[in-house]
Amino acid sequence: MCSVQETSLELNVKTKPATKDCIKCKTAKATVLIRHSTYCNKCFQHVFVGKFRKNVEKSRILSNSAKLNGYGEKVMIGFSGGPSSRTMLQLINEYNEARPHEISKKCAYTEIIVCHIDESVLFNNGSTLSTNSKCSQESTILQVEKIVQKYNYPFIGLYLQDIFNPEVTKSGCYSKVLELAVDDAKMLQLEEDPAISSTEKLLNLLNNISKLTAKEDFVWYLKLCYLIFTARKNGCKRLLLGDCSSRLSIKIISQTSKGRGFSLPLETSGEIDWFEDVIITRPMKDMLSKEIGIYNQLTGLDSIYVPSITSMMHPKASIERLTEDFILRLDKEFPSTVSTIARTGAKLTPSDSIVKENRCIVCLMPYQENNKIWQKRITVMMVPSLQKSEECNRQQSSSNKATSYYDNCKSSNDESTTNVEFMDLLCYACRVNLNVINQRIILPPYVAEGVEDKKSNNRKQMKKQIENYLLCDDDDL
Amino acid sequence: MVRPCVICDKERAVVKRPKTGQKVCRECFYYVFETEIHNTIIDNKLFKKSDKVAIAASGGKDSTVLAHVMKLLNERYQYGLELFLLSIDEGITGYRDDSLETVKRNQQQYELPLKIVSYSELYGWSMDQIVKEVGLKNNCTFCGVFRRQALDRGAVMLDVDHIVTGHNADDIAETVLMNILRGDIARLQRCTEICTTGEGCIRRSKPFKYTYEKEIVMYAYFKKLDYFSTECIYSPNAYRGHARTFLKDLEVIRPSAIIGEAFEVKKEVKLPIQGVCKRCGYMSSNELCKACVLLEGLNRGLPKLGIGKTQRMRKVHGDMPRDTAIIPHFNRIQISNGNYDDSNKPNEELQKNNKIDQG
Amino acid sequence: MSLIKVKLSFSGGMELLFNNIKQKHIEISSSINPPNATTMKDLVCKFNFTILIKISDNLLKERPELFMSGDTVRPGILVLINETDWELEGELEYEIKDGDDIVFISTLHGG
Repeated sequence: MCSVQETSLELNVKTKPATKDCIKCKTAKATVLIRHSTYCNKCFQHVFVGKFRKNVEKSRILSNSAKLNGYGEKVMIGFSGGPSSRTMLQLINEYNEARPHEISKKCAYTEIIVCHIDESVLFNNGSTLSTNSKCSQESTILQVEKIVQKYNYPFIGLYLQDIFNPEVTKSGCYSKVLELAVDDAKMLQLEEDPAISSTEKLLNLLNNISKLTAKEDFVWYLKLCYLIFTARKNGCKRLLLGDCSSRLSIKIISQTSKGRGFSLPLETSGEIDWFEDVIITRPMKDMLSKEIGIYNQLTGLDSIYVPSITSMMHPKASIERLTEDFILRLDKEFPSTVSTIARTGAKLTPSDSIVKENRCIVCLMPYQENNKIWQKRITVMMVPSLQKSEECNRQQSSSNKATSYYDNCKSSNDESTTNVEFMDLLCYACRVNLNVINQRIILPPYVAEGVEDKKSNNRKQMKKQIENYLLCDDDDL
Repeated sequence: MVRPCVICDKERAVVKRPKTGQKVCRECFYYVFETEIHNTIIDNKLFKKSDKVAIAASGGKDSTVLAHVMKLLNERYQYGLELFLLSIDEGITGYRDDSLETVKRNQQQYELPLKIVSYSELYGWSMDQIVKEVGLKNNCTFCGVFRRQALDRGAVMLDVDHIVTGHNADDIAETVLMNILRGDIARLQRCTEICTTGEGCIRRSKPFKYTYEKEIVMYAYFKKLDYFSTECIYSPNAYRGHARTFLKDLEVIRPSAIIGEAFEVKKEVKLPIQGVCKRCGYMSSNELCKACVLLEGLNRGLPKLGIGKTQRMRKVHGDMPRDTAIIPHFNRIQISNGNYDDSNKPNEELQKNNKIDQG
Repeated sequence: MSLIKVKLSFSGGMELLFNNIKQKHIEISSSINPPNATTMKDLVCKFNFTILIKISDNLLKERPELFMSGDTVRPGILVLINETDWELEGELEYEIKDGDDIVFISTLHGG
């Protein structure tokens, strides 16, 4: 297909900077090149910190809770220990401590807690997730704690596998997990078996998702959900995440590629209240990873190295990595690429058709109503004369299920086998992720709780529909 | 080893569907391929009974398969559509003249009326001449802008209600990506819509929105459809090249990538208001439509006029002299009656409004 | 034949490519490129053999695509020469001087 209307593509091809001096103070020799602008160290840091403060101020002005109380709020910093969240921690601290005489100080954060999720389980023995022995296998909690201690903030160190803890749920005590079979996508609520460790459960889950892209996607949402539950549990109204503009622009493209265009605005904007009582703010959203790297180097901020599943793998190992490589390459040649994408992303807004009820039970993001039907219609899998017999086969196969890997888990009662089809409760992208499982898997309690919520919601709705025709209150309904 | 088709379990599987990974036989592949397109048409209510529909035909694989499938579905499901082939002759020697031969053969094979509209006829410039004037850097801009209008104008001449184009899922993915990369929020929102309404209420839709390019090629291959497969000789720029490479790599990682969900744009963001071009009557968000500005630039020997710096160029060179050729006014395009092969004959009405100095 | 002493630092995950070595003082003999000065291009290109062998074992040889892209440093890896962005110093054309402090910082996700 030919390119239509290329005009608006005002490409800023990389050019040699016009001056060797700082464009701000115009006296000092430039030491940093950010897109097309040259700065000296001092001016660079000034501009950098200024951008951050502007973002924080903006989010606080927007925040109603701060206004109502005339006082600050309690926030949680999601701290990976990597360069971007490291800068964020430092700058939030400076911001909160600075200028006590100013009136605006009144609504600064009253309490800041720092939360880190350790992912070393992904790289430990027994995990086939990463073939890379070079990645650190020790827990990152100790390293991170050392950094956080400099600030006197309460620190919460969590392990990713503990997402299987019954406390990591909306109710705070949902002890069932969800078993998902391979063949028929039917699910089963199971009492959690304490004999199987969280680590085993998590590794079993991830090992049985066969594609790297899907694993990576899954790990990201498990982490995000864990952070949100933890913020909520600790009474934090706000969760600060360290996504920088380079990361966000990569995410905009990779999430679109994974079929997450629908929830994109919720995942990449600077401020989002989709999770009701926990607002997510991204104060680093206007900083390039280059700026962060240089700032940390110049100010001597020590970050830790956090490997991911695809670390040290080929740049085309997963959608996430491929996108990163693509965007950074493009940005090198056309230095406004990242900021253009980020700005485009900022103009997207959640669709009007988004409803809180249509929340994917795995990633907690919204899905499009009827997305499954839509997918079915455009992906015809069988020919009409054969459809009937196929249906019969399916019923047969589900009636004589193979014995479960988790047979030692006792099924709580008959009711736990639901008629709700699991796949209906997923967004398009999570369904794609879980389409390729190799074996029965179990999903964490918060997912099981999500199914239960959905069921009771359905029942409530049903009751509402037939309310007028009910003769008496029926407990069974 | 003979592998049976996973759908019918009888015939030998000959293809692995890129979309699902299923190994299927030829007949089952035809069936699912066609049915998905039918579902797309029905679910999106693309047509009404007795609609007159022009198939934008370039002679390439997409439009050839589109013509074939549209004819087939129209008969199989009794859509009751009146189908036409509509071709644009950009005037690219060694590319379009050859592909137009393919379109003409398709006309015979599918027994559909054909209308060819040429750039020379509409604008007084062929792409060959334009490239000579502007070079290879911005030629795609001219071609793209001119083609869109040419299709609408051709549709008016045919008096159809609807144009269908062969844009497939891969094309749309590429457009989405390009629009994100260049921050074109208005187009980003529009480009995933399956059906848009253009000038004169001519609807334009993409029945292949959910169809993979690979499957279109497979379909054409097995059905032995006659199509022309050469890249345009004035091929695209480097930036788009990067994007294409990315999408190809993406497809390797996850074949189902980018059959995505829709975007929506923030309410506060001002989208350009659609109006009408003062000069030619074509829809435009500015006083003049892009094609008119580009054409003026060509005619005045200022090809840069339409590429970014219109305001500044106007200040320097002043307004358009009155005797410069313009595109015939949209409202005055005449409907050709029954005769669809008149593309090579000069259209009287067009000539009257067209003050192009042919010399 | 003169020797140029250079300090190299690796961080942000870059160190993993170099056997977890974060800092290394190396000596480059101008014989790498005898008639002219030694440039960053020489340094980067020779990472595969001359210099790297001195830093660690041949680690980079296995995964050169994680450090190199074409004949330059992969996008997403910052290079600072004496605390100055190498993009302001002519990148590969920069002539390495005795006592230079060169830092490679990966900003790539997970190294």
